Amino acid sequence: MSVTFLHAADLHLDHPFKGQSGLPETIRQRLRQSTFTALDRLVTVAIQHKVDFILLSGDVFDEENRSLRAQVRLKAAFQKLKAAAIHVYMIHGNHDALEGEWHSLAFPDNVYIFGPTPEKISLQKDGETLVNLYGFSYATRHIKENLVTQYKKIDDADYHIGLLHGAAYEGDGPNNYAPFKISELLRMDFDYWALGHIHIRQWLHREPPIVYSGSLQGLSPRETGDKGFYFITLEGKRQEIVFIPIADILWEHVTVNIEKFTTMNRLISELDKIKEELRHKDSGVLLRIELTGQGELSDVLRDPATMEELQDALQQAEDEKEDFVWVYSMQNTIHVQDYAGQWLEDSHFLGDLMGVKDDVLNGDHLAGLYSHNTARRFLSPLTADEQAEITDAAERLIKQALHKSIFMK
Amino acid sequence: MKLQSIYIERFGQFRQYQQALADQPFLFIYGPNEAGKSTLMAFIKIILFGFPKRSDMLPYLVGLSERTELGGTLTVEIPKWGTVVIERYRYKNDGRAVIYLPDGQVTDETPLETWLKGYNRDVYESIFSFNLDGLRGIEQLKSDQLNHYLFSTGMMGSANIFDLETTLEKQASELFRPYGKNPSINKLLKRLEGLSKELTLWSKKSEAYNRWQGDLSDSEDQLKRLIDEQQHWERQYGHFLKYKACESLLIDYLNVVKELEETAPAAHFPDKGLQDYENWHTTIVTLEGEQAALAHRLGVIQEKIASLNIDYRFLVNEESIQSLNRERELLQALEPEYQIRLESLRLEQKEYAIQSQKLGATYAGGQLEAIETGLEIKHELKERLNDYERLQQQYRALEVAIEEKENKISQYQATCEHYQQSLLSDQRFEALEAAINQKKNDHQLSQEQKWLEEQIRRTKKQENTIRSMRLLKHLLSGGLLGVLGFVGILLLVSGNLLAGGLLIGAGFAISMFTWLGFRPFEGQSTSQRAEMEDLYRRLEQVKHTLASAPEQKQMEEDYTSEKKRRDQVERVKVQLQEERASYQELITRWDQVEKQRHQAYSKIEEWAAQHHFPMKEEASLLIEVYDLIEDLKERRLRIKHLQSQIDQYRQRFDQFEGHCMTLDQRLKGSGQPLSELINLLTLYKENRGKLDQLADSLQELLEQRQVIEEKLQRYRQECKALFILAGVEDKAAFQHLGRLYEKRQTLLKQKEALWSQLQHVVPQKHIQEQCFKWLESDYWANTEEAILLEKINKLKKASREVQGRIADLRSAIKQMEETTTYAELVHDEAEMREQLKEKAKEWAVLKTAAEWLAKAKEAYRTTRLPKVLKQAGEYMKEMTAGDYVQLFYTEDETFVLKQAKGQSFSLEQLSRGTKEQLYVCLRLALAAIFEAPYQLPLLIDDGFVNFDENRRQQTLKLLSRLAETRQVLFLTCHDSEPIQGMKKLYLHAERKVEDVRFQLSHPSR
Repeated sequence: MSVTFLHAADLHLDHPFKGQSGLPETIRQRLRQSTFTALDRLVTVAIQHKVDFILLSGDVFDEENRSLRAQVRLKAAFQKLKAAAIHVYMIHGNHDALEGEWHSLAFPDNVYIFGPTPEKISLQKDGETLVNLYGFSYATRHIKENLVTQYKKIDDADYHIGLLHGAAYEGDGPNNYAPFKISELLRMDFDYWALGHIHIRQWLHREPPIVYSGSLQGLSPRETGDKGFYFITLEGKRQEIVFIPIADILWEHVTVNIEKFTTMNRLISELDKIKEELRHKDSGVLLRIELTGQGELSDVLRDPATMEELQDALQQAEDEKEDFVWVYSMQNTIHVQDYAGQWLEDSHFLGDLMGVKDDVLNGDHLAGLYSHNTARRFLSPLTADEQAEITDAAERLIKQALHKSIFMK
Repeated sequence: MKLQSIYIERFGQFRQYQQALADQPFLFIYGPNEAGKSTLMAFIKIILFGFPKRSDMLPYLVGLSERTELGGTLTVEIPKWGTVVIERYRYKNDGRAVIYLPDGQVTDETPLETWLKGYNRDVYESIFSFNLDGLRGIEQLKSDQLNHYLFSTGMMGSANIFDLETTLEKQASELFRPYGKNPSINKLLKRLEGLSKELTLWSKKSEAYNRWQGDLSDSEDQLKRLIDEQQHWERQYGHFLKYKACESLLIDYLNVVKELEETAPAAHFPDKGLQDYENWHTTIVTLEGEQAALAHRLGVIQEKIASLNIDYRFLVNEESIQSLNRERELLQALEPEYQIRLESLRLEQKEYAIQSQKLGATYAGGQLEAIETGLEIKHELKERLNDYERLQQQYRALEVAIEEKENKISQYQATCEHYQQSLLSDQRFEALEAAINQKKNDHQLSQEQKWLEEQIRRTKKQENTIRSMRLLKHLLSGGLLGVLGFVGILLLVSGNLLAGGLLIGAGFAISMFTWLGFRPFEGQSTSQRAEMEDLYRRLEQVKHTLASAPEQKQMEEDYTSEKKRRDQVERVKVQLQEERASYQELITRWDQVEKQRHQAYSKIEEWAAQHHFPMKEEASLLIEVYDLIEDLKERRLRIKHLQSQIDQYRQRFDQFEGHCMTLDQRLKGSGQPLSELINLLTLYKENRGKLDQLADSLQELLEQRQVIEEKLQRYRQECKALFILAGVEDKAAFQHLGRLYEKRQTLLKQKEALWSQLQHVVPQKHIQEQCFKWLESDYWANTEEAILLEKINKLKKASREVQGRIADLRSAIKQMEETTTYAELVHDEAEMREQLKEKAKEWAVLKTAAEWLAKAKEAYRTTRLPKVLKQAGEYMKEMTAGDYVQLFYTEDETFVLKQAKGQSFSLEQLSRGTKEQLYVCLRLALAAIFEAPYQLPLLIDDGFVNFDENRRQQTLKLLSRLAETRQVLFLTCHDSEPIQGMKKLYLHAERKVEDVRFQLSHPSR
């Protein structure tokens, strides 16, 4: 007998997206709803294809204080699945651990949520045990021990499937997310491992499949490309695993070298072409464009007003489209001729500028702001990367300003 | 580094421009506006640093085609390298320079970077090259701005660095100020605070969510209990009401039962006996009344029947009477027609007689019938008549034509004879003709004479031409020979034998060729002479012939008229002949037609015989005869038909009269007219109808009477039967017994009714039983309705309150579940935090950059500024001829100039010119301290335009001194007195061809 099911993870329902302030209202609302849209599409596919069940491998909610709205929507989705006689097997992950304050909406009886200790659930069909499912939910935000070793296979079913929300061991570093070894999973001799936690979909092993389905919807600009779930059919030893992209919003990032463009019109044409290549019939695209290199347009593009106009031109009428490609960020890392090396040796102000650079650029850049009571409440300390980003930006600003205002007469 | 010479192939307005930059290091390049000074400076920088972007090149490309070869060379002296030539062209080598070394090697531009110490155009321009822009607006600056301006000039060569610092501070302030309200970060923080409060409120609400769920559950339980209690008391209340509703019924019921027990049942009295007896009795009375009425009606009908009068004989003969009456009416209707037919018959007969007279014959009936008529017959007659008529017409026409023809022939004959008589004899005519022919030849001869004369004239002309050619021939050949020969002899005499001989030979040859070339003309001349002679001869002949011809005009006229007459005669003869031929044809035709005409007449006669028609001599009358006969035949038919109709009518009338007499006999000879008989018949028929109706009514009444009697008898018997059943013999006893029976029956009914009501009020049996028990035990004796109701109402009120509470809780829960406000707030807060972070980073960048600038400025101030000040002070001293000796920069960031006399002045106290001088000194000081392995040349483009002459001269002297260590190129449109060490070069506004110095040894050639 065959079995079909869907494997999804890291839904992070009602995840609050950052950096939306510049988006038009329609796109912003669509972004805010995107995790729910992805959930609805998942349910639609399940019902259309009359799958046997759905696996949700953790981080279904975004935080311990999971929003009531997310729970209500999830409950509604589960009810639809119940009407279609589709089961749901779910584990909680580090972002929606069983602890914490949250509303306990009762889900319908087609939903089974694994408890904090590894257990087995069976799916019966036509009076026979078709599938044994093994898994556990995070009791707390961090789980340092390897609980996979507590999975006990009971060989009274046609198929055995493991659910696990965690990260594979990588060297000797600390791992607070239910660490496991691939070899341990292989030893279990399951037919399929439905993993969650890593937002980029990837396969740790082919046969048997040990799969991260990735997040159902990209949650930040770093999560670029298609997002979705896996559609799995097991029939004896035969497996058919198909990835189905369903994200409503796709994040994309392109880098364009301005070297070969001599006029703004040509640059805009090229960027329009890139936009069209990225346009996706079932989704909207949020695109970040980075201009690099040096060329005829270097000086023009250094002007923030020009960059803003360019971004405006690319954004024209996109917010009215269902399959929009919205350029939410245009960055300019156009090469400015670096005089730094030569300046340092000059008996010149510029040499002095370079001489004091290290003193200044390694300081605490937000110190002035942190002295403000309110700011302190809402600002988190800068990471090392962010410090370096500010340093680079300050350096670029000075060099560009000097280049423009001092050298250009 | 020292620039030695420039060659511009093409740049701006320069074309193949070569300029040696003199040995003197201080070059004063003077030229009017638009002479190309700035272009020259730009060219030098291009050769050194490369071609800039196209947009920066545009001023120098005006009027040039896209691919104009821009570029040229710069000859430069580099210490340790010697004199090198730097060549650069825009479209060669991708704009990269080619360097020609002194030893003849050619290399790329790699050494150039070393010689320029890696400085690009921007650095060079900022330090070593300046123009008017730096001084623009300097007089309008306030003192603190000016201080900054000059400070930054000393730092960077540009005044904008302080603007940058200010801009950074300003931008940072626009983002955040510690106590500010409007900067964007401050506003964001305020909004975040507000948002945070809202989220806190919502958090509390969401905490309340669980509590609400618990409360909801409790409230639902409470409501259930209240409802149960309420239902219990409502049931009690219902029982109470039911009991009260049936209490009186119960009491009445029990009373009736008791009374029944007291009343003994009456035996054998028929059920509903009294009622039945009353019914029968009432019915009997009614029937007796009807019976009486019937008897009266019967009497009336019988009287009526007796009064009716009917004669049945009329009724028996009704059909005959009616038939005769119809016949009479018909005859009356036909009477007018009969009269009309009589009149028609008379008219037809009259017409018949008239037509017979026209025909001229009287035909007996049989004869007329024998004549055949019909459409076909008539058509055949018409055809034959038409043929005959047509032939007849042809015959007549031919006769007329023949007569006319005969007349014409006679006329022609007469005419011909007449003309014959007026003609000349044949001989005389022939002679006349010959004379006329002769005249025609003379005309031709005169034409020939004219032609000959023309030919002679032409020939003479050609002869003259040939004579001229001959003369020319002689002249040419002789002349050439003479001249060439003479020259040849001279050459020979002079010793040049070869040339002389050649010339003489050439002379002979040329004259020979010339002679030979004219020979054809000789031949032509001879032939022309011969031709001329022939022409003259012929002309003489013609003239002679013409002279001898006699005058014959009259002869011509005679000939012409004779000729005409003869022609006329001929024509008449021809016409006569034609007429005769035509006449013959007509005769032939006339014979044919005559024959055909006879044949056609015969055919008509055949036709008449065939159809028994009387034939007429005049065939054309036959058609009229035919029509008449046809008409007579028709008329005869009509007469016959009319006669027949009239006879029919008369016969019918006679029959009618016969029938009338017969009827009269049957009705016993009343002798009354038919109309009267009809009236009587009608009357008797009516009476018969009435009689039938009365008889029917009578019968009906008799039947009714019978029914009534039967009913009466039956009802009386019924009454008797009731008495027997009740066991009485009279009415009174029967009624008494009946009343008793009914009373009991009534009680029974009451009992039943009461029981029925009780069932209706209290259907359930057990409750009924319970009610009887309650009545018996006085269960509800002390219970009041109001108290029960009050209890129930209290419970209802409590339920309502709980329901309200439940609804509120559900609403709140639903709102919590459905509301997006909290979720949106969470999203908004995350978004705002991110925005704050971005803004904070932006602010951090600005602050870091500002701090960096400030630190660099401080470093410059402590390390380099003193040198700049010292150098600038020395330059100032020199430029002001010792007036100002020192330059300071104070703690409060102001420049101070100290005079030799010891007085110090801050910038606002200085004149404009002095400020500008200070600016120049600082620029020069910056260039001076800018160490380089080679002193790069200074390029100054009209930098001192606002200086008065004295200051200008001092400045130039300073520049000249500076030129001792580095080359200075000073380009200006204002001339100046030469000073020591300065070399003036003049730059023309127009490039002339004379300006071009073409050096063949230049390596670029």
